[in-house]
Amino acid sequence: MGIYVSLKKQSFWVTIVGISLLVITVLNLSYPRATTLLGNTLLLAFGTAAGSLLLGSFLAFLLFRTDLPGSYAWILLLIFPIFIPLPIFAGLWKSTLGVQGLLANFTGTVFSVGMIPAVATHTIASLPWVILIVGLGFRTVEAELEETALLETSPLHVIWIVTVRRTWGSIISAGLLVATLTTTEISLTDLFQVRTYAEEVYTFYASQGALPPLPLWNIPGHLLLALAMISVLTGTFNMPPDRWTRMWRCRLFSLHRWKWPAVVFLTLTALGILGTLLCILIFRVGLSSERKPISTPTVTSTLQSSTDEISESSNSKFPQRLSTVQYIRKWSIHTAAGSIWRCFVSRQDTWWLSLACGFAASLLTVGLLLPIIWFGRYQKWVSVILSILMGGLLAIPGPMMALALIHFFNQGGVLGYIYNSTGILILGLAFRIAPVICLCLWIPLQMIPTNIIEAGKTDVTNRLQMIRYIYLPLSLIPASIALLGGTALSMGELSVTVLLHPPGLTPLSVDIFSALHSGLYNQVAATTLLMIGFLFCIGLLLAIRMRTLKQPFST
Amino acid sequence: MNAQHLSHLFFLFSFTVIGCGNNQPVVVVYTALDREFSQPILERFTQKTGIQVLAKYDVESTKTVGLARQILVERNHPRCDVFWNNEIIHTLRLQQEGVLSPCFSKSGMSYPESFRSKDSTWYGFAARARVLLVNHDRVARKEWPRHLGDLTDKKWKGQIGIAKPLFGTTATQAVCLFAQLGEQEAKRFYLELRNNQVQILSGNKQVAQSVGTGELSLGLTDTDDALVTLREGYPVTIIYPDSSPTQPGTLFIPNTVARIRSCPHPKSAQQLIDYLLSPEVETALAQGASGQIPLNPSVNVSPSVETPSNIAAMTVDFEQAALLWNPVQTFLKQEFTAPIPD
Repeated sequence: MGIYVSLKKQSFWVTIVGISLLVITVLNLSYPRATTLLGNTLLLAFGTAAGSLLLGSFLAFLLFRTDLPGSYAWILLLIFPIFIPLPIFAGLWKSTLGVQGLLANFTGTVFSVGMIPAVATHTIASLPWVILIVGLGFRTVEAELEETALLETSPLHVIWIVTVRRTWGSIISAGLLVATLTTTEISLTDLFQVRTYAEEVYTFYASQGALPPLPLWNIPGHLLLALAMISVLTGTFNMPPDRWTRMWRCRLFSLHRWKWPAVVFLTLTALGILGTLLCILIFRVGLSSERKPISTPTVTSTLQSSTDEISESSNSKFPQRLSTVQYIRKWSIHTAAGSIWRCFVSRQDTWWLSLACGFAASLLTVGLLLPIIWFGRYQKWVSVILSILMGGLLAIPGPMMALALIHFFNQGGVLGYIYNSTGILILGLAFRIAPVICLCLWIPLQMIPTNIIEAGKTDVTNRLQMIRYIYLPLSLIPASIALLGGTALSMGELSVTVLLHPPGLTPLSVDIFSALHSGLYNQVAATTLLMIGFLFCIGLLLAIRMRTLKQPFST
Repeated sequence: MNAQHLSHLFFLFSFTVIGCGNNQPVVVVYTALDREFSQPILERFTQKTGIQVLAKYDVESTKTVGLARQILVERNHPRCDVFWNNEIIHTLRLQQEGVLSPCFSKSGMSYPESFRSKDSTWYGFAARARVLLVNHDRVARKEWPRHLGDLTDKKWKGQIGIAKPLFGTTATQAVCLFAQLGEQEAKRFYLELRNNQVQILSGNKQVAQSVGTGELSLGLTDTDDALVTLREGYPVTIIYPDSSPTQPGTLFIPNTVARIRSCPHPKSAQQLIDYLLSPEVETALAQGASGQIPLNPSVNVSPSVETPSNIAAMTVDFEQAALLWNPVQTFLKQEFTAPIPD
């Protein structure tokens, strides 16, 4: 884990200036629906960022900076949805909150289509990121500052004037990340029918088969977004190592009598997010329909012998279809168990493929980034280059990245060989997960005190031994965490996978997404439950690794 | 063996075992027909011929650049052998782009001439109809629409759903309506539909499901999606619009199959095309859950939906309709991709 993004004060202004420039630039361009698209895009981004930051920051403080019972388990539980692909997340929420969903009696038609459900779903999906980034930001606030302030004023005031103020960088970074993910995402806006710039670009490309007009590319917008992300990453990568080690020594605020109400609040939040999702999945996986005949004595049948339906001629000019059978929907545990078992048995190829490609992409990325990041400990310019690369990769929408790879690799020779194999998919996934893996590796490796490395150097004679006896052992834990996390993220990645997977192979995320769009909710639920079970196991492994990492270099 | 050795083994496995094939003959097919319907057919082909089918399926949404688009992108180095489209217009567009290769099929010759190209670049088979699906719990029978034109009635404001008209059979229907009704009349219909606050969903499946669950009162969709919704137990009824003898007729859209020019496995492609056009496949598609309508006169099965022999079918020159693609798309994109907010 270990994603923490610190923003220097000027980066905040970079963001503000960037967004203002984006507004001005786009308004000045001549695309016919610029205002509508811009309005929707900004409303979605700001609405999501505001909602997730308000709730997420509060939860982050509770989880990371208070003496809340079982905070470690809560963190894992609330961060877990990061690994559930967004389209599945959105599809399942829609089937719950939409008309005739499980909670339709409470929500009415509010969550059917439009900006409200889009913002709400994006907010829920973004919460884990906000909790993680802001929470780790809270952990790095200087304990000395807080303790000094506590001598002068109340804890609540200290939280506001010291803790929150020192965490502004993380809060803005989290907001920026949420806005980036929201503005470049299209599956959720498609589901809830919100028209944004990103969707317009894909629609244009898919329907016209040509590159969209320049204003639609929103180049200044993406450029500024990339610059803002680069600024954030540069801030992170250049932070002094001692700042990271503070994470394990931070001061915890006591909740006193609010301890148990906080637990209740967290329980309700977790139930609201994960519990509801699990309920939907379990409900869907056990649902089946049963055919029962109904009597229709007044109709004239012309096709009755061969079909479920008959043709009726009450108005002879207009044949209409009327059912002679009805299908009763029912839920049973047998259906649920059977669906899950069938899914497990029949989709084994899909599981192995996704696991292998995800692992290979993760291994490739870790293998490439690990030496660069070690090098970056000694050379500052490496962090600048990494920031530019990773910021750019974060800001590029997945389908655009996939199209660029298709254009580059669809050639003869070696490139063609890669294009026609899983190599192209592994490469695409590696690009997608690189920023996350980079942060997963950078921060723990920065936390290693220099004196430990220097002490180790006295016992080795050459560089090869240094790699073998110092760098590799010290990298093992962060690398394995990055590997596991990267594999899990790759298995759920959709936007690049859907375009790059070679014929004959269907990765898990594409399989689930297709089933979701085909209305096979039973199959989606079974696969998603299996996937959650698998990710839960990975999460447990990560948790065990994190416990090992908790105080790795205590002196 | 430590963790590092295991990692190395897994790495090698990832790059070799998965990436490598065997000596079995293969054919690469891009298919836009839903996987649940097309996969069993392709598996049967493998069982019969021993040719391994490497299929790439489309997803029913606008998020992907469609298979036809990918074939165009790959035209200089094609990896696809056979394009099995679930509609016809995109196949014709590929033909116009010169991406398809003539492929004489014996079994294809038994289809009516209107469903195969003159130069043997494509063949049509197993059609679906564009129908209206009504939620009969929400709409009383006497109010059911009979014609597409009824959808512009103000009483349906905000209650009708269609898939995004830039893709799939909804786009095909739009092009066919422009060809059939003329530009002015077709534009008027679509503008009135838009003004009636038609809900634009991501696919025909979503339209059928929204009608089934009662989110919408009625929707324009395909027979296969309508049948699935009906069989799932939702309170829906299928209506064939404009299907009386005095009216323009219901639109029937065939599947199409074509071989890609300079494809890597032309012989296997030929065999697959022959198989897909065989009576066996049409029979399977007709009797399957998608209830597709056989076009081959020699196929003698009772379809589970109406066929052009029972009701009036729209007469369309698909090749002429395909020429209208770009102007129709421009119009629809302007009117439907970013509707003006209320």
